[in-house]
Amino acid sequence: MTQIFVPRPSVPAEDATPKKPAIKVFRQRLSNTGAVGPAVTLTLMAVLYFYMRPSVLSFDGIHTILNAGTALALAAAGAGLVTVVGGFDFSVGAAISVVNVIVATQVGESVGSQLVSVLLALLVGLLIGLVNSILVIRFQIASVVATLAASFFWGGIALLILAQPGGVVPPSFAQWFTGDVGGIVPNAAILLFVVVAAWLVLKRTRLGHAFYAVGGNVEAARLNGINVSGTIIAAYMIAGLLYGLSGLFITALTSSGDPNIGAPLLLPAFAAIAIGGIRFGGGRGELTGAIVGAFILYMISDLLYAFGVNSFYTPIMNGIILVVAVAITAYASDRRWRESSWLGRTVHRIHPTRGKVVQI
Amino acid sequence: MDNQFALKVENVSKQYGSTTALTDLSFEVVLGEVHALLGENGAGKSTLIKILSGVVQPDSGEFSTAAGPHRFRSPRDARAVGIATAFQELTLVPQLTVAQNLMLGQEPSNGLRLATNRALAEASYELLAEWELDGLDVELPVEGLPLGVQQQIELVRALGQSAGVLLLDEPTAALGAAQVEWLFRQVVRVKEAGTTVVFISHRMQEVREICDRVTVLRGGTSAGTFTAGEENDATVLQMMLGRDLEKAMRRKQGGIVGEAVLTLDRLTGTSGFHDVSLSLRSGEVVGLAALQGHGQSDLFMTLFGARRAASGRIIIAERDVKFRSPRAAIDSGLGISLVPEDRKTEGVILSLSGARNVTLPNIGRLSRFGFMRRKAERAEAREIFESVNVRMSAIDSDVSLLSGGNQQKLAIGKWLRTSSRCSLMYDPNRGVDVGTKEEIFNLMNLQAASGAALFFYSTDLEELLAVSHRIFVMYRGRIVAELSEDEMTREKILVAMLGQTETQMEAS
Repeated sequence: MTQIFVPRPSVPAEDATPKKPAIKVFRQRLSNTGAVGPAVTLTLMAVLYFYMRPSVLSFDGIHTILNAGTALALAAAGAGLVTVVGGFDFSVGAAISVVNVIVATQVGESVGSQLVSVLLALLVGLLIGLVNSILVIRFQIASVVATLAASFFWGGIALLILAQPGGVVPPSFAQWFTGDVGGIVPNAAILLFVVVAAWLVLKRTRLGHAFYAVGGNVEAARLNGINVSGTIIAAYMIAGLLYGLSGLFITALTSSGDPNIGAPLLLPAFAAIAIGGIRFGGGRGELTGAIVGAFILYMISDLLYAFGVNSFYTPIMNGIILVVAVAITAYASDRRWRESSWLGRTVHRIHPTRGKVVQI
Repeated sequence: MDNQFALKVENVSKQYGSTTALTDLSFEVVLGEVHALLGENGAGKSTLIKILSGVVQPDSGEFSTAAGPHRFRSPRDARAVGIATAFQELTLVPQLTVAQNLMLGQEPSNGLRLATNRALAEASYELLAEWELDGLDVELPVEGLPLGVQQQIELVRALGQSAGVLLLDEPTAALGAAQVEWLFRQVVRVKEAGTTVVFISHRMQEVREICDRVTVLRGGTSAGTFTAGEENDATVLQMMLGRDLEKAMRRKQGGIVGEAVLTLDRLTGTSGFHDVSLSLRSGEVVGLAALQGHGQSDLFMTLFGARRAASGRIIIAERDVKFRSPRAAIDSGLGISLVPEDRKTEGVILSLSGARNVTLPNIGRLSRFGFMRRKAERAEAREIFESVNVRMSAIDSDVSLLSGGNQQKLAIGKWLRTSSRCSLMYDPNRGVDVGTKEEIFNLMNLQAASGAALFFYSTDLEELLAVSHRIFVMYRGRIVAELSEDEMTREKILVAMLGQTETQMEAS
């Protein structure tokens, strides 16, 4: 008789790396991706909305939703990136306003001038990001203060360029962003591009690794040979670029200039960041989460409207969703949340860090 | 047992997610004794302390004091029944001053309920004097103080509660020799006053010195309790590890000591150290001894490019170099690496996975056109985990979930693939258990054997004597002694660390 049960040398279970079942791997991947919870929520909301109002489930209907949400989504993605590296960016609203008034006063009918306007918008965004990062790194100003100051400054510049709402944006320009170019919806394409690019950069590139390292702990990142200044500059500038893009969208949508158009986006952008699962303080979260978070915010008001609820209730609902979403993210992202919330967190935050730390 | 117990733990279990921290742990602390808890990292000591102090709640099991069974919901509850705790991971607020930290939550107030700075300071000085810690400026913010002093403040805060039970979670890990003595005096004092003390340490000698009884933890449960001095060190080690430890106390192996790879010529930092001249040779472990806060930290940081030097020269391969950043030190022809003082804030990044942490210094090499080469990244992470012997299942989870010893192994391991030929190790064995310490020594030997130069600072003299080929001693920012292998003795090092010459010692 052949021996079937050969006694195996006892190997501690944890040393062996067992092949996990595919479903488990899939679930683990899901839970590692911070944006999944918000994405599921958004999908459920969308399904409910389309069920309530089947007429919206059409090319035009979806197009309208995308148009409405894209500007905020891009703004939230930008500010979200700064949040990931451990900073705050309050200049998002003013940056959008500046871009808006510049484009509204510059853009003409010709394709050439429209192209110049687009480039100008993106450059202005980059510039605003660069100035922010210099204030934070070179002058060691806390990012909250630096970007708040920047917010006032650029808000003022916007007023200088265009004192009152006005300016005319030719429909041909708006068409490039919010229209329908040969059956393709440009905003969907651009949004998709931003989503993919953001994911690629954060997950698959050296720079992305550096973003999370710096956001996790500046001093440790530096001692690992990470170029902390370069990383922070990159984060703020990419954020600025996204503000520029956001400004272009909002300009196309409103077809005019308004020096105060960006300001109301500031708080919703931060709400979207929180709903999207990005941790304030840095080191965790994904830009796709912020983008999804922005659409959740829009979907809330649409849903309430579909249910015939007075729109005054929308802010109340936003507040509730915000708290619930953040509580769920915190709970899901940290299994030890319940046990360690009292001391564990406090300890990490206040553990002494020596040496000069770049304030961000 | 006819002795009355101060603490009794019965069948306590605790899980963190899928990690089991404690299983069915039972033991008793007798009223008025100093009870030591020994065990490897991950044996469950810290979890036990957290349960006893109300920071976390056990999943099952009973826990009682003399007053009866308890179920703490917060540290406040533990304090209310007279349990005071000094945590290893300090709970001081770094931005606040010493006085504010000491008086946190118990500020002396005048009629308006305002705590004046003066009143705070006076009360703090009183408290410090009571615990023999005079001469500390209580107006200084805590974050600027050496780690040892911060630990002392944390200890005074716990001592000052005049509690019935005092829990000390590895208090000596961050303390220098003189500070340890100070602590032991205080422990004896509170014991005489009737307080029961639970004392966690990795150092067998300390346990022998002040503890009455010892409980050894292994794998989350008790491996036995005995009266101090009853078992010899070898037996205790075996209890801790669950296996025989073939210990070669003289661990010096290293490689063939070669040429100087790094030479310092009157190097002076912007703060902390002056006129340091020394050279590190390939294949050699050079030890550095000093009391806390004598410039060793600044010296290491400057050598790694994390601080600027004020004057003097750093010479590599007969050329003067100036490091503007750690990156420059890592990329210099020599390839310098640093295992920093504080692993939690400097060594590893707690919010990143193990794999991300160990590949972080190499993301340049592991990427092409800015994109990570994921297979290479993965393979390298696995290799490093294997060579430092950290379980593979931890590779994708946050390092914050790992024990301190494993975190430290990763903080060392991440340099193994950087072609580093000069390792700066700042007290790498602080707060790690005996088993891990052995592994770290082995890693150090391996590096030296392959021709790297090691610069090794430690608060533990035994350790320095065991592994160093040469020892430098720093005092007030200057090198005051260089001892060759034949010259180095405990006494000589101690004398130099205290800033005295031997003749002075003899005279006094």
